[in-house]
Amino acid sequence: MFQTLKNFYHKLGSYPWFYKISGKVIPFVGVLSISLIVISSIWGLFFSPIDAVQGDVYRIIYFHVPAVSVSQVIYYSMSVAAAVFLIWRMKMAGVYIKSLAPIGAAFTFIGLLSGAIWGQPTWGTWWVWDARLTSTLVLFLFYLAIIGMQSTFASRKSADTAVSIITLVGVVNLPIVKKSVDWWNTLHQPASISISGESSISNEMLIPLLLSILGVYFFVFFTGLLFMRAEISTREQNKEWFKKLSSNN
Amino acid sequence: MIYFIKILKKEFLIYSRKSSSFISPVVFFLISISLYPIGISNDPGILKNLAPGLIWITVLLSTLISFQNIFSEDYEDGSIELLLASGQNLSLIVLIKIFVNWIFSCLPIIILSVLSVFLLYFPQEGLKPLIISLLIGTPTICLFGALAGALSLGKNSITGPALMLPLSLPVLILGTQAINYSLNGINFSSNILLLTAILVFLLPIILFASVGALKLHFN
Amino acid sequence: MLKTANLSYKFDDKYIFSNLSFEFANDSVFKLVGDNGTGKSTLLKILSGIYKNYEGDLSFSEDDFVFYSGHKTGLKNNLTARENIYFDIRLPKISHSQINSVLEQLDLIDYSDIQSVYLSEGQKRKINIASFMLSKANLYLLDEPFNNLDPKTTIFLQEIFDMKINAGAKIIFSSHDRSKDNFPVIDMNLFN
Repeated sequence: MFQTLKNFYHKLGSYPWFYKISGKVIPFVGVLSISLIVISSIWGLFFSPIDAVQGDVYRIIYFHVPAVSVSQVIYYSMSVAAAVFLIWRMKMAGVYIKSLAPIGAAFTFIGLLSGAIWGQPTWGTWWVWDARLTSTLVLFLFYLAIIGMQSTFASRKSADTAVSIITLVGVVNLPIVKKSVDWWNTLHQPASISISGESSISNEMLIPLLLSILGVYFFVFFTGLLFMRAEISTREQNKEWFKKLSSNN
Repeated sequence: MIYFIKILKKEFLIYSRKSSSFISPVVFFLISISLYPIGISNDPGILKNLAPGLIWITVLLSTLISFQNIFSEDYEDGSIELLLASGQNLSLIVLIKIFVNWIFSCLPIIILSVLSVFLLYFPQEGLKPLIISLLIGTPTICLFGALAGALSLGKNSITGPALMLPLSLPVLILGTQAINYSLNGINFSSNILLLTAILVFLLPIILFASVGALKLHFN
Repeated sequence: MLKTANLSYKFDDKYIFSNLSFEFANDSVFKLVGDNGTGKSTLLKILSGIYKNYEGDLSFSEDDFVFYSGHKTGLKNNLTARENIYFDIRLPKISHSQINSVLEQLDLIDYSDIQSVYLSEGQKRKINIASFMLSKANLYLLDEPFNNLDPKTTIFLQEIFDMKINAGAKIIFSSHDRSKDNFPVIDMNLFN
């Protein structure tokens, strides 16, 4: 068991293996993710029941929740990759962070934007300085810092190392920001708007929501693979295996 | 030991010669403090409430301007290469650099923040927590500045500011809160203790990270 | 004694030079020549300990005390020539009288209290030569020390080289000048 895991890890670190396998996987993941997103969007927007309190506005949930959840999951996965890169010097982890950062930034932005659009009619405001929104904004800033850092170093390896450090600093910093804003809010201004009001959600709403979340996750998987392949092909364009591969096609 | 004292003296001399290093933060602070009443309101009641946050934010922004100074010149003129070649303890040297940078870019503003009593109608009894929170909070900000500066050496990118803001947020919150607490008669010592804990905890970590980031440019 | 065995350096995946092996005995000097980008400066930075990511072996003897002078001078714009030498981190123990005598030999004494930002490129080089003269190191790694020097100072620097070598020091320096002089040569073009 351990041996197979170890083998898998070593294979994962190899560019040619990854390039070959990902090329086979991409079409399936792409079709799956896009059909899931289309199905869940149509279901969520047209066929799921109207919310008793919010009316039709709530339907933005089918975009907002998947975006926010995936933006955080991407960051956590990037911090795992950062640790792997710093400890075992696995080059693929650097490729992973560089490729996923723009995707994460995009979904964080979608999350913030859809949240604001949702917030306006329901709470009467585009923005609230509460812990969740502030930490999402900070998450966005960390994504920007990671993207900006890529061009600061001449050497690819140095850039990957620096980006890994930043990613880990961010993963430590995020809960601290969340906690301190939370604390500041509860003591400073008694919450005039409660965002965390838990409402029970009916099955007819839940199923398309779960489908949309699944769809977005697969979409990130899909775009992640595409971006990683693009990154590998720029890094390895002068290598023998890559030249052989591209001459075959 | 003689070695590090010499570096300390050298840094002091360089900063004192480079008048912009300490005059521009001071001027920036004075301009902002005098613009707030004009831009926001000259009503003492409003200014008094905003003063703690305004002072803290101004200090934060002025360090944002000066954090590039810590390493950029050393990088341009080749001093960092000589430091690396010397084989001496780099974290101690970086610590000296951050300390001198703090003395010249933060300390004058902290002293000048007393002026807010006149300009922003800041209540005098709030001065003690203001000064204490700034004295303990700004070194942490300078540490973050050193890390951001070391990472974004040689190139102006979004990275520095994008890193500084989220990292400084907890310090800003704790600092302004300490002042507001004391103005409302609440004990603010827990905030000061937390600020101290953050500084003590982060000092070795950020120092280590900054040295690592510096070395990454020479790989 | 300085010795390298199969020393290679790569920037990301591209080798700058590879399999460099040489032995550096006492009382000697080497001139590094080679085209641009063949790794002259890189080799000096590796030998001085600035770059650590090399492959292969590099060994010093116990008593080697290294003095490195790079392409960038390391001079502080806001300090005078005298202060720059006094605070030079490569010269931890230096007295003002020593500095004065060297500045006089280099005809820098008239400029010694002017901030370096106002000095010419050649004068800045001369300040670096002053540090080089004052150093008590026994292994000198100099990156293009003869650049930007007038003929008089070039001859003077060559004399300093001879003096240092006679005193038992070792010098490795890089140069673009392939013309014959009595220095043994390491040609970096051969290790590409």
